[in-house]
Amino acid sequence: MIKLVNVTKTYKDTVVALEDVSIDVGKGEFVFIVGPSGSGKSTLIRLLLKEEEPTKGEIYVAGKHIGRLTPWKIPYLRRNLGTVFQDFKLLPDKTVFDNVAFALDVIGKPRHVIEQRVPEILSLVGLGDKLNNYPDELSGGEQQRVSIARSFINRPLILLADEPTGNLDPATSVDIMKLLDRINRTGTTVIMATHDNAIVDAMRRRVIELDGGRVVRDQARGVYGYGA
Amino acid sequence: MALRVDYYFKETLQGLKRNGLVAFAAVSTAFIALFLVGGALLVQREVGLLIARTEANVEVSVFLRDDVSPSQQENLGNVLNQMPEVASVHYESKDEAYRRFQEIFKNQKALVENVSSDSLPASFRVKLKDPQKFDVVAARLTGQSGIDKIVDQRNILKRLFAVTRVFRVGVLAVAIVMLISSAALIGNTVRLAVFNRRKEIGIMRLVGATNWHIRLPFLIEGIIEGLLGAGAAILGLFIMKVAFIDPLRGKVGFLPLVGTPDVIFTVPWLLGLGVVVAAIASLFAMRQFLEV
Repeated sequence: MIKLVNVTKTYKDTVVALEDVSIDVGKGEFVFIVGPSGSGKSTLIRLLLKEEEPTKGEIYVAGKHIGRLTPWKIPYLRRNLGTVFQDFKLLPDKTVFDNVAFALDVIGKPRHVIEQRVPEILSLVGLGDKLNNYPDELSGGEQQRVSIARSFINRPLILLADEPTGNLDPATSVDIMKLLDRINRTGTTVIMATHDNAIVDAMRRRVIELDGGRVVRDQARGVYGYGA
Repeated sequence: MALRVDYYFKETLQGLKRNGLVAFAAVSTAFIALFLVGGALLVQREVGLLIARTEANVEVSVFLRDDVSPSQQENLGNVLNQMPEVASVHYESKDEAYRRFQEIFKNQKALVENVSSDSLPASFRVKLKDPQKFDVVAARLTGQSGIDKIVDQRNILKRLFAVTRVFRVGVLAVAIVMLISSAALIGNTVRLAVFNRRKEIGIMRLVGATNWHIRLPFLIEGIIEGLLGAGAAILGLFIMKVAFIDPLRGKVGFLPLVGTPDVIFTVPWLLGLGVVVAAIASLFAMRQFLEV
C-alpha cells in the first residue's frame, strides 16, 4: 500500500530530514512512526501527501510511483489519503456538519450525497447530536473526532495521522485511538506519527522508529521503547 | 465531476462581501478605465462620421487675383470644366463671398463691419469626382494667369483630424494606465481573498480538491468585479450621450453626431475587455499563492 525505497530528504543541501529510508507497509496495516522531535516523522507524512518531493529515492502510494505524478493528478492521490493532525484543522466559522461536508463539497459531490453521508459518519464517531455546533463549542476530543470524520468520509485507502493525540489528555486519547482502530478494522491502512508512548505500548502494533532521519527500528507488535 | 453552480456562486458572493471596500476600489477603477476606453471608441466613431460627411462635400478653392480680367476668369472656368477629374465648378463672386462671410459670422458684428465685400477674393469652388486627385488638378492649373492661390480643403480637415487623433491617443493612454491600475487592484482583492481563506485552501488541498476547483471562486470574483466596472462604464456612456450629445443634435447642423447604435457598438468591447483584464489579473495574482 505504501512503499519507500531509499528515500532521502534534505533541506537546503545541509539539513538532513530523512536519510536512506526504506519502508514497506501492506494493506490494512496499522503502523506507528515514533521518534523524538526533529527525527523526520512529519517530513515522512508530507512526502506521502506529495506536499514535498524527496531529494532521492522513490515513493509508492496505493501502487503509484508518486514522483511521476503530474501536478494535476495530485488531488486525486490525496482523495485516497485521509489526514488527521494535532491541531484538528477545522474551520471555526463552519458548523460540525459543514466542516465534514466541506470535504465532499470541494471534490464536487452532489448535495444529496452530502446530506446522507455526513450525519451517518458523524453518528459513527459519536457526534450525531452535535451537527449544528461550532468547533469552539466542542471539547478537544470531540473536535478531533470531527476531523477524523472528515478524513474518513471519502473512504480513503490510507489514513495518515500526525500526532492526533498531541493536544489531548490520556483518557480522551484512548477514545481517539479506539476510533482509529475501528477505522483500521474496515481495511484502511493507518500510519500514525506519535510521541505518546502509553498509546503505542497499549496498542501493540508495528512500530517504526526514526532517529536523525534514519530508521533505527522496525518491529511488528512493538512498544514505544524510546528512552527505555 | 458534477458542476456545482450553487457552490461557486455562494463562495464568490461571500468573497465579495468580505472585501467590500477593496472590491469597490477595484470596481471603480475598472469603471473609470473602461469609461475612458468607451469614450475613445466614441471619439473614433465621431471622427469616422466627420470624415464620411466631409469627404463627400470637400471642395478645392481656386482663389482669383483682384486684378483678374473677365476673359481670364472665363478661360479658367472653361479649363476647369473640361478637366475629367472635375465633377462641378461654381463661381463665387466677391459679393457672394461677402454674403457667405456675413452669414458665417453673423454673431460677430465687429468683424462683419470691418470687412467690405471688396476685401474678399472671388473664387472657383471646384468639386472633384475623387478628392484624392487634388494634385493633378493643381498641377494643370499652375501657369494659368489670374490665380492667386489654390486651396485643398482636405488639408484643413487633415489638421482637424490630427488634433482629434492626439486627443484620442491621449484618452487611450490614460485609459491604458487606468486599466493597468484596475488590473492591479482586482489582482489585489483576489490576493486578499486568497489570503483570508488560506486555512480553507489548505484543507481543500488536503482533501483533494483540484486546483481549478480551488481557483474558480476567486477567478469568478475577479471577473465579476471587471464586469461590474464594464457595466458601470456602459451606463456612464449612455448617460453622457443623453446628457451632452443628444441636446446638441439638430442645433449644430453641419456636425454629424454619434448616436445610440454607436454606444451599443462599444458594449461588447467594454464587456470583453473587462472580463479579459480581470481574468488575467486574477490568474496572475493566484499563481503566486496557489501552488499544489
